[in-house]
Amino acid sequence: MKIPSSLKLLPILFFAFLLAGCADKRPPGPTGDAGNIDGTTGDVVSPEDAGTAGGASHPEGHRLTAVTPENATYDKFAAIHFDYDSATIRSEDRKTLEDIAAWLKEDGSRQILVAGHCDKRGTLEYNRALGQRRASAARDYLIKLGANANNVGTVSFGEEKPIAQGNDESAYSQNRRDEFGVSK
Amino acid sequence: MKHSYLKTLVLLLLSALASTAQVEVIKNEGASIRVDLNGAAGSQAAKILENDLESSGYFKTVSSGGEYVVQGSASSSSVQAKLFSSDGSAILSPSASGDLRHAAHKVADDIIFKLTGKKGFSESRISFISDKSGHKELYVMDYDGFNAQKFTKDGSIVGSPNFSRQGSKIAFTSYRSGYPDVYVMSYPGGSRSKVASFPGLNSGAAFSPDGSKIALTLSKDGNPEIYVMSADGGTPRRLTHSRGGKSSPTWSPDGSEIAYASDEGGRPQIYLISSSGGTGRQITFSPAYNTEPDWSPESGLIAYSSLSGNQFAISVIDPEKGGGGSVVDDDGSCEDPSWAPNGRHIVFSRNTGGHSDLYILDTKTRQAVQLTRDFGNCTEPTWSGR
Repeated sequence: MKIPSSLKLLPILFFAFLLAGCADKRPPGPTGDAGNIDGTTGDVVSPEDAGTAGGASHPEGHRLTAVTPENATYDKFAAIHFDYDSATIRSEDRKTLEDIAAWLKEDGSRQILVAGHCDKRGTLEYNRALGQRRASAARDYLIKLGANANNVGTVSFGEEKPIAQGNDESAYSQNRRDEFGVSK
Repeated sequence: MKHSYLKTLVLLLLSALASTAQVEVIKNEGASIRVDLNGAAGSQAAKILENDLESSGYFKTVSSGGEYVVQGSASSSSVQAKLFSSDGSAILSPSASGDLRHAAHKVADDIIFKLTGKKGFSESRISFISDKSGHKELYVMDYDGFNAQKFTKDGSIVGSPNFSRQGSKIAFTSYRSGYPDVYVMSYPGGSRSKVASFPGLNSGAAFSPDGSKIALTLSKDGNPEIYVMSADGGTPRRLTHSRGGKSSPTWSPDGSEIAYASDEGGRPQIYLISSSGGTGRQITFSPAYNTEPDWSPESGLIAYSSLSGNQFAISVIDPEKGGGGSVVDDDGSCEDPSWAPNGRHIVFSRNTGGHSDLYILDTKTRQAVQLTRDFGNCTEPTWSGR
């Protein structure tokens, strides 16, 4: 590793202090699909229920036994997608979730792992939590549709596993997703 | 800092009472000091020493003259020095042996303590994540960028490291099991134990002031919330009860409060909560996205990542007074600040064009210096407490 032997050899003036009172003249945030920035994160969009108050979701008692992040394959069901900084289920994704719930209810031994992901904007640790909320939102919805809570698990990968590598909204929107894993 | 004035008074009183004790207390920063070391490793040791003395913020190194002079010699395995004031009177004979860099750092800290009454951080470490090996793993290096050592080979994703104030433990998140679990590792020994592997997310663990507890994010009850638990593992106690996701807890200097990021109001902002639980109160309100707080035990200020256009900058807020400043960078995205033990420097990660390196910012001079290079993408730095 080539590291300068003295910090003072490479002073680079980068920064200036701005007082907190100065207005931020930059645009309010990353451009892109602002969409449904819903402050009530964790709520579930469904015909039966406007959402759970307080963002409370169903607790997870234990990790899945049949599916693990190691053995999961994610191509049986389509991924669902999210608006920027949101964990709200989109209405167009309800059909996918209904199919998954039906599949689970067909056979009580079936389990599914919901993997939540973020685009690379945003900070690393916050995105771990956001990915988790996206996974929990889908899990909550599946439970509301009658799936057994013990057969739906979650994992968040934050922004660590993008499927699209670009620096534009097209890539970002593909990366803001839940994927549904079943055992091979 | 009111206590330094009291300490100075006490020290002056003691020195007046003692018959021969000589107490040197530098109150003003920028005392000039010259370092002249002979021997096989003299110039190398001098460079290390000069950097440590300057980084402390109390000294300006000079090549001639100087209010203080350090003379002596250094070999590859020892540094023997004598500290003089400009009138020629001897103040201290610091020496150390072992690895040259660590010997020089120890001598620097001895000089800093003798002349300022404050503990130096020349031997402090920075832990961070690098993907140099092909996977994100945990590394620890000296605060000046040397001696980087790899502490994990999990072959998956390691993230969110946090050093304890004592510098003897590092908490971190690893996906070694496939899931994000929290581990506590002893430093420098490297032995680790898994302390949180609940369903859902386990991440963001940060040590309490005495290192016995960790605050962390768990989503096991359905939503990412802040919990406190023993650093050895056990039953967590839930602190937050609100909608949205909580992340990145950090303890106040005395451990009575915890700051964290929460998006319960729509976009993430910094909140405070009593470490015995209660209601969170919001302390940042703009711009629209503030996360990753780090609370300095020395200064009481909180540094955090703050949205700036399409990227991030490092901002600092005084949680008691509410005032603060935003450090704005026009080139690259600056994230994940961690305070140095002196409450003045901040190490952070800067992403330019998809590549991340660590930088150290002096909040007083507003100069930033690049710390890592040619070491993969370096992120999520954490500065040891001493």
